[in-house]
Amino acid sequence: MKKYLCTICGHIYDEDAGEEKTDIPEKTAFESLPERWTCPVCGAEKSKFRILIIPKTDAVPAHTEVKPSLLSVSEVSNLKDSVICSSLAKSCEKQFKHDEAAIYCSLAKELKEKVPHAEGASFAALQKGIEHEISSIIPTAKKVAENHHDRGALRALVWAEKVTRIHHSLLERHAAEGPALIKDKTVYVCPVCGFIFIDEHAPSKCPVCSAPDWKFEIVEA
Amino acid sequence: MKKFAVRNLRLCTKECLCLYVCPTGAADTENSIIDVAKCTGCGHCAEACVSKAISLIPTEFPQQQKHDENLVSAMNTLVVSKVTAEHTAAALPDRFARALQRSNRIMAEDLVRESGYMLPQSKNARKFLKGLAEAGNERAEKLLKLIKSNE
Repeated sequence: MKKYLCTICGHIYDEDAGEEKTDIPEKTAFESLPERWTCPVCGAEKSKFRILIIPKTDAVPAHTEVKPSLLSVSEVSNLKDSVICSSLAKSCEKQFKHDEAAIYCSLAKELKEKVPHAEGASFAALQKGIEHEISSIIPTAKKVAENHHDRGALRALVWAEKVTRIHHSLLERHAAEGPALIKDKTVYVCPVCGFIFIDEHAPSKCPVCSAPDWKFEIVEA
Repeated sequence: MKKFAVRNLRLCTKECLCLYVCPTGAADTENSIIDVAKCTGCGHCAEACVSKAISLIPTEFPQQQKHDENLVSAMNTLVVSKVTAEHTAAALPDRFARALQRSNRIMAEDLVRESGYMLPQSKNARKFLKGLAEAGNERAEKLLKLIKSNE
């Protein structure tokens, strides 16, 4: 059976697997999906999907050993502190506190640079982390946020979950296609939610958070 | 609440009504950025603007929303996973890895903002800076002096 790719968010519809989330049973041909069926990740219409042909080039051998990340407690803490700083830099920027934002940015950089480069990093290790996030970390956090009626946290988690699923399908394609995934294409990142889009022309607004396309960052080599 | 006016250059259509109503001349600058030192926050410019290009930014903010301890801890687990992913992606080649690196940072920033670090003026943010300043960080010390607490 075939696979279909959402050209808006990169979600993959697998005919073999069906789609539990939208009550589509296994072995359902894309053609026979109802016309009003939409992408479970970004809500794009059925017509926005295209058939996914995965060329067998530069494929990573399946038996590649995945090394877990070996960060120490203090390294994790420096990275997290760096994120708090770059986040507060954005908050200062929104309040037009430009000097404070600049200092927070330098502080974020300083803390990040304390942590040495990862050794033995692999795309497979990233995928493994994502699988753990999707199956365990995110559902747990969402439940806690729901129980405490914490709407802000729940909103952030819903966006993060969508973007994480997009990472998952992109990594799946990258494992199969290799560098062809981005060859001659533009890579966009939404600076509000982290949505990644790889193609010629970005959608006019972010399918995850609705930010307008002029906000998107273009990733340079 | 004290406020000051800012102009959104993406929306400004240069009708210049703000210049006519501004009592201090703060809106009339060569780089189109309203002069904060002159602005009294009266809001006449924002009311007069036909393109809705001027907003009033408060100088004081309400206390940020409190979050449950368990929520903060659950969010933290995800933040740790995201910063680890960012760090891993940083060591990988090509634009795809750069995008993953950036995206993980953006998600982590949003998650920390929603678990206690929304406002730079908050007690939590100051506590965080104090921790760094006590360890001898000069930038953190400077920020503590520049940003006043609202709690």
